[in-house]
Amino acid sequence: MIEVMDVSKRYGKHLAVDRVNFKVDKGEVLGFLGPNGAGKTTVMNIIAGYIPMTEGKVTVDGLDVVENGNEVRRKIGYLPEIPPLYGEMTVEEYCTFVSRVKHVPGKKRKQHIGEIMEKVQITDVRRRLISNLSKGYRQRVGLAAAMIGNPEVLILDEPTVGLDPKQIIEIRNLIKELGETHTVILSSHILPEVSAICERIVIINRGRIVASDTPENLSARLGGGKDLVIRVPGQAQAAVGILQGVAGISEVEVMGELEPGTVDLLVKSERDTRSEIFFAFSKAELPILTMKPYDLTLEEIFLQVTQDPKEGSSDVSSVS
Amino acid sequence: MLAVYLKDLSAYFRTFSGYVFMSVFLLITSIFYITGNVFSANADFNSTLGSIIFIFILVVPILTMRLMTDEVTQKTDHLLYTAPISFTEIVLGKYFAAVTVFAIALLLTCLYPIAISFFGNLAVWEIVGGMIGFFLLGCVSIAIGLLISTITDNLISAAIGTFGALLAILFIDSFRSIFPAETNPNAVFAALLALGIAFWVYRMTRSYVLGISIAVIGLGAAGLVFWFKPELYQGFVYHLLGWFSMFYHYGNFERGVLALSSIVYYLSLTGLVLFLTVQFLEKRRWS
Repeated sequence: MIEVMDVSKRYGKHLAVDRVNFKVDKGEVLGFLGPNGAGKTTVMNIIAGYIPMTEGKVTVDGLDVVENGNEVRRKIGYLPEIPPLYGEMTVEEYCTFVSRVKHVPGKKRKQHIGEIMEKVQITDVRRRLISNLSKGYRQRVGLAAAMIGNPEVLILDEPTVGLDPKQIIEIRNLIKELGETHTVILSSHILPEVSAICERIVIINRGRIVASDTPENLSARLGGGKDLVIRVPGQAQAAVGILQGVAGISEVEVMGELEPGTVDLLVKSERDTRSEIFFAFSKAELPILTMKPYDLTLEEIFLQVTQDPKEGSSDVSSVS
Repeated sequence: MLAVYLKDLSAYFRTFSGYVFMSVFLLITSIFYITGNVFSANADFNSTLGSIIFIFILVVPILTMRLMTDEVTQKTDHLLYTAPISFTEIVLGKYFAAVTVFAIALLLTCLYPIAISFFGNLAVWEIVGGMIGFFLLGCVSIAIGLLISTITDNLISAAIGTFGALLAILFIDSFRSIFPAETNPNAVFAALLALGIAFWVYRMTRSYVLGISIAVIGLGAAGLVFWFKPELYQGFVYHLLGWFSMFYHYGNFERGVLALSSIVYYLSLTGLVLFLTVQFLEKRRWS
């Protein structure tokens, strides 16, 4: 459906996007993951036709984004990072304007807008001025604008940023639902969010794609949640001694004293060793105060993905 | 185009800018009407119109400063540029919205000559001609305001830029006569102009070949004219600046003459400025 081929974007001397390649199949939900300033927004702007690329080519449904601009834009609904809203309009007026711009036929307009407002749950605020709406509602109005005209592709740039947890869950569910009928590209800098919604993840850092895989494969490559963080009272030596007696543990790393009188240890193992660790410590009459899976931060994921591109699954498209 | 037109037209009346424009416009016209026509018992409304053409310097910035800058600051340009409409449609929609507000205000001023008609003989068709000229002059000024609103990226510089540009155009007539009329300085100016255009084309297209060839052709043409028909350079700058002096061209209308040349002049100047606006948007997207 969407094909991004060797796309680069240069701002003066700064290379914002460096030869990015990926494909999105029809009906797929693709997560675009990267820290702030990684080039996510630039790539999305290029696909949506807001800015052209310096080099490369993007096609949507076989049509070139630059050459067949207008036809491609009919197929794309775009929600930028800051929703493009006119504060002086009411929600309904804004939706009407967007439907006019997107050439929704006059007769169907009212019904179409009504359905979309119902879907994103903004019907109850439809007569309110957009400038008076909360961040959550604004985001939903922006999403409604992207959905107007029934585009086949939805490009959503950080749709959950700045929302409260309840709203985040609502928007996520909505995107999941939309993913059943649309091709969706979604960007985020939060890994759990992307892995919850998306079928495939593309990780981008400093303008380059560093990994592209399913969430399952990606997390398998990244330790798969088998690494544990344990907090026990006393000295590090004693705890390390006990852990060395447990079978299946490959590595123990002392993380230091985060709570007075205790020590934190990072335990890497090949399989699930939680019960063995529990019994080993209880035998030594040393209580385990905390035991939790070790969550990689985004930065650590990048380090890991960029450092050993040879390991892991076959579908690694590291460009280095 | 219609969508953008309706949006911007209604935006004038949702925010204050439409009302501010109309109040200032009607205030200035009514002051001149009362002093020029009512108090002096003069039925010549055209001369009143002619004496207030400076009004565009004050009111056009109010009308055009927000047109493009607001889209950029509110980030709504993302919506417009990624929607299936062209830059031309966006520019024309916005332009006609501003022209419509101006036309409404101008229609209201028609009350003044109608009021005069009860008390004296009115040269109706001359006034109609004067009104058409006044309207066309406003249309050119609004196009210039829209162009400047597109070039600048905030409200204040758009307003001051439009004010300055229109003021400079108003004063062209006063200072264009200071340029010498002799052949030689004008020929030098023509050569510099050719180089300037060549450089501008090079900056826009980043093509050495095109820039240099335009420079060579321009200089060659200037040289040939200087060689064979130097008298063409007599007052070259004077006439060239005269071409941009849109207030000067209003003279015909003020006399009540509906001169085709002046109408064509205003329409083509408007077209040129709007074309430049679209080109500028296109250029900014690509840079």
